[in-house]
Amino acid sequence: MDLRLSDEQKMVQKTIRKFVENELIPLENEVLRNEMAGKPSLPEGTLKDLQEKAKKAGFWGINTPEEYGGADLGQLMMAIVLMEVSKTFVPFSFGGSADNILYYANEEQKQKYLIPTINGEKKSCFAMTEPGAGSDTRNIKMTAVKEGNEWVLNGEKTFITGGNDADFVMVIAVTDKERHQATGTEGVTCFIVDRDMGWRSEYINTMGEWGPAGLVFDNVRVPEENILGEVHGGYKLGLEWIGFARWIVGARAVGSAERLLQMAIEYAKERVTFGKPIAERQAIQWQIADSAVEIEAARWLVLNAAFTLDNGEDNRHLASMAKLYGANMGNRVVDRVLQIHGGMGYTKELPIERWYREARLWRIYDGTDEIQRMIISRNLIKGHVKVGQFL
Amino acid sequence: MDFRLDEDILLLKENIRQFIEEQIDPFSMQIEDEDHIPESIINLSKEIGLFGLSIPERYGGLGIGMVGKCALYEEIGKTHNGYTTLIGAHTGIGTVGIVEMGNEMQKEKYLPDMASGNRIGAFALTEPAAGSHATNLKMTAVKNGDKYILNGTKHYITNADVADIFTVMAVTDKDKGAKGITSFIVEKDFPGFRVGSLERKMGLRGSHSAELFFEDCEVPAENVLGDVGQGYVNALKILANGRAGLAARNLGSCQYLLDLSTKYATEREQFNVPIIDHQAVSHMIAEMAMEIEALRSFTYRVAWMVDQKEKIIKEAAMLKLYGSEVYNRIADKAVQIHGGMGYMKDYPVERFYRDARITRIYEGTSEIQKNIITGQLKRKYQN
Repeated sequence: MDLRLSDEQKMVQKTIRKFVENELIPLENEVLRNEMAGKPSLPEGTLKDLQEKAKKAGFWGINTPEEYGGADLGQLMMAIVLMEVSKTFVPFSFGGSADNILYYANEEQKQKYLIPTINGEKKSCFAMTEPGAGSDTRNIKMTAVKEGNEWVLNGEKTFITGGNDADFVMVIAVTDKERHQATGTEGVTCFIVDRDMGWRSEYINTMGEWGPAGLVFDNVRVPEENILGEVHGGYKLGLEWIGFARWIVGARAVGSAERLLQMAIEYAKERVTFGKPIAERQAIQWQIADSAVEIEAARWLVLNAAFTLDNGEDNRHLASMAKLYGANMGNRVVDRVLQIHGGMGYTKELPIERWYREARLWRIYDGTDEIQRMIISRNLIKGHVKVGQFL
Repeated sequence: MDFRLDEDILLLKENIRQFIEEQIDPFSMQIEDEDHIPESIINLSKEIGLFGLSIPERYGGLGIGMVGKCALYEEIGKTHNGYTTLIGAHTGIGTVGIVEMGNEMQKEKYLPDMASGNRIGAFALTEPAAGSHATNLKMTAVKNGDKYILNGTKHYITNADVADIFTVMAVTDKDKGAKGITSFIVEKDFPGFRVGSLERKMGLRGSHSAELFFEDCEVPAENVLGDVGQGYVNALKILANGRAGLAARNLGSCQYLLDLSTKYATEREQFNVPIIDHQAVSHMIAEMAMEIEALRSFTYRVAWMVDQKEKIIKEAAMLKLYGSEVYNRIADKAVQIHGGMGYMKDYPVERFYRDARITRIYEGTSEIQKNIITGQLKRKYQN
């Protein structure tokens, strides 16, 4: 057993770290200014330039299979890359990737949707959640009714990440109501629906700077050939889309928490009250110590979840644990860091309050804390997983 | 021992509850969007006497004592915290100094206008290098004939942009440490006084804080509040009173969040049952309710002590600490119970979550409250 990164892995980590320090962190003030003025965090052009730079450095489609021109670095490397990228709040993705379930597309669909998505020519989103159906997917109300060789879709989706600027959506709708009601898992189908087929999106304002979309389908007609996977077999795709990489939230939390803790340490050394730096007060020291311990714990949980998947094993249990613990750790750390900064931390002079607002989402999306606990305990109580089996 | 509120206070409380619900709360979204409290609702609040919460009847106030004040704060806490803070800072730390330490001339000069809301109050202690460390104040006040000349900067001053009357702490004798601080009543029109630009914050939109600049600011000697050298003691008393009031306002916000959460959890179904029937949610609600009851009892107990003229330095610190921590825990649970809905701007919960966060920082951070509590306890064994 060797818990260290290989030389090659270290090199990738170092390159990404440099990219973050040299290219992304210098944009932070611009991002804050833009957001305060109600503008997009970064202009489209800046994002494209950054992606070009990253592409030149060899980072494009970091997790896309090689046959599609990606780097296919694997889950563990992706976790390490995400931890580095999350040290800044500048919104950035390397590009060149597609949702995992889009790989289930048939040849024709691949040409039309998968390849353009990987090439960055099209943007996609996935839509399962509805106002009355969050984690309880049995409540899905959106219907698709067959008419000739078309399906007619009606209903609403909500909290759809990427829904505001997607060119097409992979949407889950009920195609066999009786079967869906009886089984809860069958009778729903996944459709690929172009925006110009007639669905609308509405921006949802949130506590954070990130805004998902509500999608409205009002008699949207979709050709038969746009079914992704099997008719009535959409639930499987939905599960795969959701459960695939929940640990990503944990990785984001680790990177963010590391940067935030560093900020708090620097501030605590400088800020003097009652004649000495607050770093010399135990109330501050303890907060720093607890944060550091929790960051390490979350880091190894996330890496284990990623490593297990690379190993070809079922990592869903670990992914849920990494998501739950990482999200909560992140919230505790940003709370302490804000507290250490006092009044300053509450103002928009510093990015801490922005991070505080963003972090709160981690405990809600991709399955709430409560859903993760349901999954984890069910696995253990039903004996699907044994306590301590992951080593 | 009687835990019930007096009939007249109960009646007043019910009136204010209705007023807040019908006249103020509908403007919450507007306050949030515009970062501004409409003059119309400020004026309505003045008309029903809310600006005179701390002021005796003799000077045009409600004259309801601390218990009565906290009862009304509880209702005022149930709406947008920017509004709550504007009223709270004026009726708390903004006026209490003049009510408690002012001489008859000062009271007659300032209180009637403050009670009617014609003039708004603010409290200025904090400086860039002296947050909770009040004895580190840098602002100076030098006597020159029948005037004092004030020089220095204050920051994070709540109501700075709307206030007319400031209770300001400055150093009159730097060799005397805490005993060399004096409080002054400063009017915004005094020469040499200027308000800086507003701070941008995570929450409390509509309530603004800013820096205050004093450049050879002339203050008449008759505007010394209490005795020269007594400013630090004044500040402690004003802050203690303010902290108790803050807890009462937090209590109201907590109650509002519990009501929203219980209603939502009863209506929202997941896995075929209302989520309140899932133990994870039901126990969160039980904890919220329990903490609110504890906070309520503690709040009125401290308010009662104030009305008995008892010293409340330690109790106010405990109450402020507990009230802020409870408010943050409850806001966190309210967001969680509401799930994605709790994170959305169209719904009030996320706003309370952001507004709650400042209560653990302003009017003395949680850490400072702990220092005060232990400092008070330790004395007993030191002397």
